[in-house]
Amino acid sequence: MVRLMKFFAYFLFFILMLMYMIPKTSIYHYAEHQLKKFDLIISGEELIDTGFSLQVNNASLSLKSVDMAKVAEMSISIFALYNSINIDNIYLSSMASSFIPLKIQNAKITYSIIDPVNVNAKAYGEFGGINAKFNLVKRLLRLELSPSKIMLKKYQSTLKNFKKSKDGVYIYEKNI
Amino acid sequence: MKKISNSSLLSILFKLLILALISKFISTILWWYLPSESLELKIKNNIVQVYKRINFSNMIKQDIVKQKIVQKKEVEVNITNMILKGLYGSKNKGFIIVAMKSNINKTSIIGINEIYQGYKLKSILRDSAIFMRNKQNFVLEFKKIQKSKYITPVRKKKRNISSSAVNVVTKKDITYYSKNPKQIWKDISISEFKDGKNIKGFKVNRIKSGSKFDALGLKQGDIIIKANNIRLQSYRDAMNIYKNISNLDTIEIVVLRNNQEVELVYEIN
Repeated sequence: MVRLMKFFAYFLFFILMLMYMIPKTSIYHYAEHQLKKFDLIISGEELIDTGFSLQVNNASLSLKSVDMAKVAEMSISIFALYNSINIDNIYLSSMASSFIPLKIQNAKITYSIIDPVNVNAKAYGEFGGINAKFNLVKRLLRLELSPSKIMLKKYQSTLKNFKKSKDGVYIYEKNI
Repeated sequence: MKKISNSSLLSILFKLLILALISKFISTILWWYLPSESLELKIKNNIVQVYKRINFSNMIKQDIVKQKIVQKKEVEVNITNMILKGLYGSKNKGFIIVAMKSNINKTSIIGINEIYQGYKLKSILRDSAIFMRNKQNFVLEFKKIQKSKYITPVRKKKRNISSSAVNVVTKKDITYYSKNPKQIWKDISISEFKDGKNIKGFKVNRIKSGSKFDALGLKQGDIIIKANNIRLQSYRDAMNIYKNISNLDTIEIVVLRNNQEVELVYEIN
């Protein structure tokens, strides 16, 4: 038992050291190159390695060279067993103004060993709140939207893409 | 010394140091192989003059009137036994190529202020030359050439202006489509058209008959290559037009139709 405890203690130390020393900016650049294959480019950002996480400030997201959003702050933490991306203050491009209010206050994407099949995300902003779940096995995306008053009043055309459940939550499902 | 070296604390520290070194080694390998430079959005310069519709007819008319006045004032006698075969230059610089009608193949090159057959070349106009003799001005004009014989096509691709001339698009329609983007894709299907890796334009794959796009003169198979004098080489170029559409009063698009450039002009009211 003591040996097992010792092993886990050493393993935890090794993981922590690895997380601290790993070149986070290089991994981030590698991820950027992978996203480029889908014509998604993150540019103009400032990267700060804070030890156990990577801080990304003032990033501009563009898809097929069209500006999509500006992100004020993003924090990426990768601990193997629990990984998260926390994003604050997302300003969507004015082109999206017909579909959704442009400011998203916060979005958090998490992947944990406790739920290895799903990538979970939560976001809230002027549009209301949303819970998202992406099933890696079934490749199924499920969104549960609790719309704000503005969303219900001005963006009915967007809500038409969702199915309204009995408890007032709008649900959208798509296989990707 | 023996006590210290045998202590379990030192053993633990040594193991932790080894683990730290291993993690550093893995990190170094990753650092070595992973890219070190960030990606930036490269925007091709697509700077062109702002598209404006200008009515030149008044200017041309004024120019013609002015030329006629000048000719009436300055010219009193025409030279009839000379032929003007070519000219190069402006009013006070350049030269002309002339020949006598009696020997049309024997040409002479005359510069400004040079004398030919007793006439001094005074100035060169757009399609004539002014000579001077005994303080009198004489004009030598180009012999009119039959167009069909001498004009050769310069460009392989001719640009035709749409037979329907200027179409009218209402701002109401634009607002309708901006609020109902799904309707756009129901009425028209457009995809990028690539020449190798680069986008050359946007191809119209389908147009719903009877839709507003159908009435605009676009046809299935058209490749939209320019809008308001901007080459559409990326989605960004196309979206920039879309974003500014409320500020425009005219849109001119150039499409490739049957390998010919066709210009379509729309007025936004």
